[in-house]
Amino acid sequence: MLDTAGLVILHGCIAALLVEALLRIWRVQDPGERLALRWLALVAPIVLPAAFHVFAPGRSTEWFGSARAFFAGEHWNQVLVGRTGVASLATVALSIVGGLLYLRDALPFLDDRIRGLADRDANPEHPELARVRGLLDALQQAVGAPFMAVVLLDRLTPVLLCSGVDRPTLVISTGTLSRLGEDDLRAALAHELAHAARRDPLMGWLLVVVRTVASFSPAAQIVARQVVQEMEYRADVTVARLGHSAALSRAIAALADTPDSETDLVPPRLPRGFPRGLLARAERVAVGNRCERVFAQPEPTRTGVGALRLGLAAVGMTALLYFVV
Amino acid sequence: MTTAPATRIVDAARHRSVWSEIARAVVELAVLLAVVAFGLRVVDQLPGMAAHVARGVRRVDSVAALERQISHKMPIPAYFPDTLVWPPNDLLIFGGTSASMSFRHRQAGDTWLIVAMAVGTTSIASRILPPATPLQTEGTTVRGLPATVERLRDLDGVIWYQLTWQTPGSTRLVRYRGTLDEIMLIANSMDKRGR
Repeated sequence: MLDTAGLVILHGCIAALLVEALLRIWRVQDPGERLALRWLALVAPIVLPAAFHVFAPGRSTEWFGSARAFFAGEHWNQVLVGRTGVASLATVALSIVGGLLYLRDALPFLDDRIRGLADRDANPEHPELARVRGLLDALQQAVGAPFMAVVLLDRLTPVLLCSGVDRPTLVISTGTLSRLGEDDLRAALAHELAHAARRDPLMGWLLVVVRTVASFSPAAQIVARQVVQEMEYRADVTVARLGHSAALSRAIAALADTPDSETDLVPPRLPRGFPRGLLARAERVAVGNRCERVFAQPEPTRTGVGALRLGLAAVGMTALLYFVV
Repeated sequence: MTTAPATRIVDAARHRSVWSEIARAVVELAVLLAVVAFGLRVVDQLPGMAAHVARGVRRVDSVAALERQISHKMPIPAYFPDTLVWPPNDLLIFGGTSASMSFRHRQAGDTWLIVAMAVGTTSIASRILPPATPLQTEGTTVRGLPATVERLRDLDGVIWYQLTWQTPGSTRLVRYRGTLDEIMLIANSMDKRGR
């Protein structure tokens, strides 16, 4: 059990670094290709060890680890700390880190779903509902999104989310409406419509499943966050293509100013009562970077070889991880 | 009139560009994989360096542990010169199939005898034996089985004798720093059960 967990963690680290390097070396800008490569880094380390176990049982032998493998985690168990091998200790320590990273994101997410965020303070009679509906309808065709239901919450806290796996729903609060000007609101709604167009809420649930399966792997938890960031980038690019990048930057900055914002436009917040300190500073930097990226970066160009590069990366990663036991 | 050739030129240029993009991607991926594989290999050397053994070789504490790891009994000679110290001072295993035991000389303190075995393979992994250069090789027999006797020189210039022979399911090796007669006695004292 510990060996398998160690292997998944090790493969996860290598896959994450490999994909990060490829994104930089290949200068991948297309958000779809970036997202696909991140998914590869997330899923391959979970699927490949099981596949190797079934289709290449010889790889599990000690002889393979000693004579053929590029790296064998078991070799590190020769170095003892107390009476325990370094590889086993590292697996336990990293599993704890992975579990904490998982709980940090999973608990607020599940709490929202269980308590029913959309049902709290919903006001179907609110006069602002018609304005939001009108803006959504005007943007829907330009973004290429399906019809999106609207739930307006009578709350001062900013809320702006796209939810619903089979029936996309925009959840927005009066707090959001009061903070955003007309142009900024239009850009923010276009962003949420872009999520609906790409079925990102479904992707979100798939991510939860994968993160739960690999809840002990810190690499999986970090890559899962990168997947979310890529989905956000893809939605941002859609808004930029409509010519609303400056307005979207303003909307992100406005919503990030409120500590209790519940929106995908700003990075996930720390749970209440969690010491903020350095992480709060990191949040501010992340928001600044995102605004800059939305506002300043040229529209990503498609190279036409995205699928091929993804295939190459998958084959290369499989070949490399085969020799890591 | 000029549209069709112009389109063809643009198509050809785009084609070239896509192919060069693919070629670049393949080369860059290959280089990256090679660098990562090399890096992993280097990191994999470190535990061996810390334990003063070759890469992939593990050191164990007792003969029982060694036998457990290779799922076989180690051949232990019934004739054991009283100049040597029991128990073995170094027990190494490689790949779960090759194992060796080293014995020190009582007065000199250096390794004087090495007994090694490989299970189910034809050769004993060289990584569990100290490096040595063969000087002379002859055929002989051990307990009626064909064997090879070699004279070797190790890195310190010391001359050793080495006997290698195969039994059903295993290869056995004895390397000794004493006389040829003694190594023959040692090897012939290992019975069929490996004791």
